[in-house]
Amino acid sequence: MTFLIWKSLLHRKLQTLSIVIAIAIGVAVIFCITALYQGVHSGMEISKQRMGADIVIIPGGLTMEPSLYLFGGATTNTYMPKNTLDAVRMIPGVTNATPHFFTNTLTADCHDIGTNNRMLGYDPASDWIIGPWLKKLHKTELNADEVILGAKIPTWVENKIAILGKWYNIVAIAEETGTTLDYSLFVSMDEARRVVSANRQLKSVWEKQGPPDELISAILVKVSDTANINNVVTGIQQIGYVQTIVAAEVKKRITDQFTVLLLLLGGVGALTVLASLFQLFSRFYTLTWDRQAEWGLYLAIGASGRDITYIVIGEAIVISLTGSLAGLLLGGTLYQAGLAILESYQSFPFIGPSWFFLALLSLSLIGIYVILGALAAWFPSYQGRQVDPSTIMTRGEFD
Amino acid sequence: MGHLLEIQQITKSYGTDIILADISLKLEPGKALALTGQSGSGKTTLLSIIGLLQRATSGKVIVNGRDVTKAPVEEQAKLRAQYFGFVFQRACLISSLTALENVMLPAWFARSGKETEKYARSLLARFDLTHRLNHRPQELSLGQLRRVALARALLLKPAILLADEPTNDLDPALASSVADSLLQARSNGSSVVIVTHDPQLAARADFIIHLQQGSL
Repeated sequence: MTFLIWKSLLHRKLQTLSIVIAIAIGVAVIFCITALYQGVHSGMEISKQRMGADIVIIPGGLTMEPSLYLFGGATTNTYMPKNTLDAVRMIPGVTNATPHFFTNTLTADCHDIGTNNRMLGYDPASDWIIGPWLKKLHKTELNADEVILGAKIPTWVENKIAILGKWYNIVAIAEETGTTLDYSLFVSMDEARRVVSANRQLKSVWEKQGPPDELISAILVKVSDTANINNVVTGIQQIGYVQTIVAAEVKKRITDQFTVLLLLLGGVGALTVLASLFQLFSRFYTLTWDRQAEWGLYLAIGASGRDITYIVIGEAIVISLTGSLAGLLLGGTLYQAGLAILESYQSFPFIGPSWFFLALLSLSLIGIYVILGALAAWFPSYQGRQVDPSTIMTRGEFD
Repeated sequence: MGHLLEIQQITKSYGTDIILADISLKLEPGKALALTGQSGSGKTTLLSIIGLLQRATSGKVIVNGRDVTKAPVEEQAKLRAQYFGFVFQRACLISSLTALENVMLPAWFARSGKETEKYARSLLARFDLTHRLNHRPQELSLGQLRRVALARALLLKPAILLADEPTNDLDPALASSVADSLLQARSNGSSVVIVTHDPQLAARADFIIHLQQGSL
């Protein structure tokens, strides 16, 4: 009887195709929105846990979108005097502050990794970000020839990597944080300064501000839970020649933007889903009247009511299943395209949903649509069982 | 010889409108019965009741010695598949299926598709339709449609073959050919009940019952 289901669906190609497409669009939109939302949500959560800085201090005059700085991994070779750190530590409410020293890898150097990434030197004494990763490796700090790669650094080969002409041992690949750290290479502060000093192309960046040993690029600040963060920011700004990025504000702005965007997309998605469900239900409702003669014939020549149920619900399930699977393929493509478009407009913390999450989402969508399909077919199948088989005696030919 | 089919005092009415009144008849294996009468005399209704397609208002239907008058709907479906083959006024073929697939329909519902396909092909060959096996109903002539419908009715070798106006609208040569095929089923031990206006076809049956305003 499965054969009859296929035959019937193929015979009504246009009807079948239109409903499959409607379901596919509904599933694709839900899949895409859910996956994007999950990615942003995870990114926000993990970045909060991993970065752990309430305020990031960078040199004054840097005209960069804070979200791009925090989450986009943009390279920023600007420096400020390292004694700024001492001034920051004196501000009431600051519980911890650690310096970073930035440089960047190059794209054109044949002894480089080939992409432009931030190289980040950290201070083992005050750091609270890199240290936990090293503890897992039973190390206290990185040697001069050691590097930790951010989760999104694209190129590395056999545990070694060439950066600006020098080979480094890859100690670890950092876990994804959804922040700028994912695009960074972590080395010791001394090593980062040595790299900058030794590279002629990078000299023009620092020479006006003094030797690299006296410079830092950024300070990550933790603020006491009881302190007013605005007062701390005011205190930092009074040091002069610095600017502050309040991580919570940036995250809130991004969250707000995403909430609006996802609500809009979700609204469109909800309408699409409703339209596909309406089409599914109306298609099967009209079957109740259109195919009474066919079902009457089946019953007259020996089909049971259960056979009719199997055929009608089978058709609905095949349509729902096909639509769902097509929708997942389309949704996967939409998700990739949507992510690329969003990233081109806005840097934001994003951690791609796990395969488990995507598999669960896919199965849930398939399950929901199959159940809805079966529900849509329930009434027609019930009516089909009730068809009086004697109607066939008075019927003419039928489609 | 025992009776394959027996109906006792069958009455069918819709409110005060009496369609059949106190009809009784018996049918033996291998015999053909023609039901004749004017339009509206209740022939098709009687055929429906005999074939368990609808229930009588009162009276009994006994198939192979068993009273099946009040059998549940699902049980009646099984009995139809087990005992009856139907040739309706129209061919009533499914347009999404080929000729062979239409013939195979009863076998699929009886879960005996694989075993019976060979027989379905041989039936269609017997009706000179070998070259039309994979054609859909809309590609067949009226005579071919009727023969496909007849092959479908014969597929499960029914004990009782019921035919409602099987030669209606057919030219004399085709009508004769279809009648031959129908009555030939007797040679396999099948009983045949034919509702017809065609006196020539009725004359070829073993018995003729004439209905007039719902009565014999």
